[in-house]
Amino acid sequence: MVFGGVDTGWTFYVPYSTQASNTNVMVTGIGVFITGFSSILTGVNFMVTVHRMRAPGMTWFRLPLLVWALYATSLVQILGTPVIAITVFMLALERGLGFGIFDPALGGDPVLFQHLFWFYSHPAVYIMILPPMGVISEVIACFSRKSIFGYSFVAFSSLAIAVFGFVVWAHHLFVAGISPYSAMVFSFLSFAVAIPSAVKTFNWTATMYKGAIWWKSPMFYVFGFMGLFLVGGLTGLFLASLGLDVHLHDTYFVVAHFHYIMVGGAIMGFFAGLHYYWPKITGRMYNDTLGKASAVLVFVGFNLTFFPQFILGYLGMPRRYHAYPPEMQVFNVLSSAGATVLAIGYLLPVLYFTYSIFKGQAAGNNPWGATGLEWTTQSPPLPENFPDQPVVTEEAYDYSKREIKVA
Amino acid sequence: LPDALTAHAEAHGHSHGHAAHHPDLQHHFETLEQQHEASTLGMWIFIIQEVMFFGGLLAAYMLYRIWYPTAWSEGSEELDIVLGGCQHRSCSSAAA
Repeated sequence: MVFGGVDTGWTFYVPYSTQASNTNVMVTGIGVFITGFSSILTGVNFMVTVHRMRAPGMTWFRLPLLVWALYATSLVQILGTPVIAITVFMLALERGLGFGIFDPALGGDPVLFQHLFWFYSHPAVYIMILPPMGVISEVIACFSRKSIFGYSFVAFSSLAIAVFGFVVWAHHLFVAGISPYSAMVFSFLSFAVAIPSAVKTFNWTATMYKGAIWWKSPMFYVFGFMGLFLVGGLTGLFLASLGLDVHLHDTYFVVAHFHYIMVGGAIMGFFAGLHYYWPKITGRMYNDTLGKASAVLVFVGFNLTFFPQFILGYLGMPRRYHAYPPEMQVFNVLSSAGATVLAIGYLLPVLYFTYSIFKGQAAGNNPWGATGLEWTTQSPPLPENFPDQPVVTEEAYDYSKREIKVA
Repeated sequence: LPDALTAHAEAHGHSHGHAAHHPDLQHHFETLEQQHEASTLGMWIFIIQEVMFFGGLLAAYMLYRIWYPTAWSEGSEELDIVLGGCQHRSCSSAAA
């Protein structure tokens, strides 16, 4: 992509990617192929580790929920990623050798590419959102000083999201000419994904209920996640409805929806995790006030950027166009202004994290008074993590024996 | 065997700071048994992944075979059972 980019969009839809495009589709395809195998091997590594290398006493239902979420992610990586790899391979055969798998002139079918592409690329969204969901479970329990509400429901909802994620791909094809019956089935199944997602959201809320909320930076990011993920999830139901999707397809509404999930959900969760584990990773504590300020800026900037796009999309503004009629001006200006606030929100952590590496106070082993094995070892952890094999004797989130607040 | 273990530990010079172990045991495993089980499971999971990998290719093959049965039947007329993938006419003329 360094050599002039690829003009197919990220979806590589045929026939554009096989016949029309003159850019570096092949090089990028090889890149996707190699990165795909790196993703698969990561999944294999995590699954084997969870199955075979748990510490003595670490039963399945004592696993931290982050590990459950990573296990579900690995499942998607192992079953989904090979399909995109072979699809890119077929694309290469088509483009390089003229095979005609996706070319109607040779008896092929371009919609087949879309099916194979989305069979991976929809579950890929769950690869991105599941680990942050796991982080959210960790942070909420720690900063509410309470055991997680409905541990097994939260654990199994991760697996349910991974499994359901494989049977919803055709909701990206509602206007691509698939049969109305399969569209109805895929619409119904897409609605079904909302169930495990809602189970998680309700359980997180119930965990905070009557908890001793500790107002620290990671928790600020969690609050941001909860609000944005809720909006992103609910607007997903709009798009899963067949009739509405005909109107909203390929508009800014779609752009706003997936940014609410991917940036508002996944990136907010990532930042919650970064602020939570930073003292463990580096051994240094960052400036908490700036952390909170950054979380608030990101939340405000994000909503200012993407909420107007829901309205734009509803009014009919299509994706990937730079020109628009004058009545849409105000929403586009709001969106650009929001992006600036968002950028400041994202730059702040770069500054105070960098500062903390050199000048930050030593964090100690367990600055949050958190449960979990990672907090029993030193910060940053030793090679091989623990001086001696740890033995697990309690449930994952037993905050009842801990002090309410630590330093 | 204990002598061999001690010798091995000395060869390491205790540089990575842990007790003597079997020479085949990689550092991130606790026992040889665990190492064996982990690598076996890892290989099985990788094979499952391969099923999905070629599954995409086979799915495309299956679809076209269902959509164009006559093309497949005509194609099979051209195939020599003995010579497998070799084209019937060219093979037989070469033989003659």
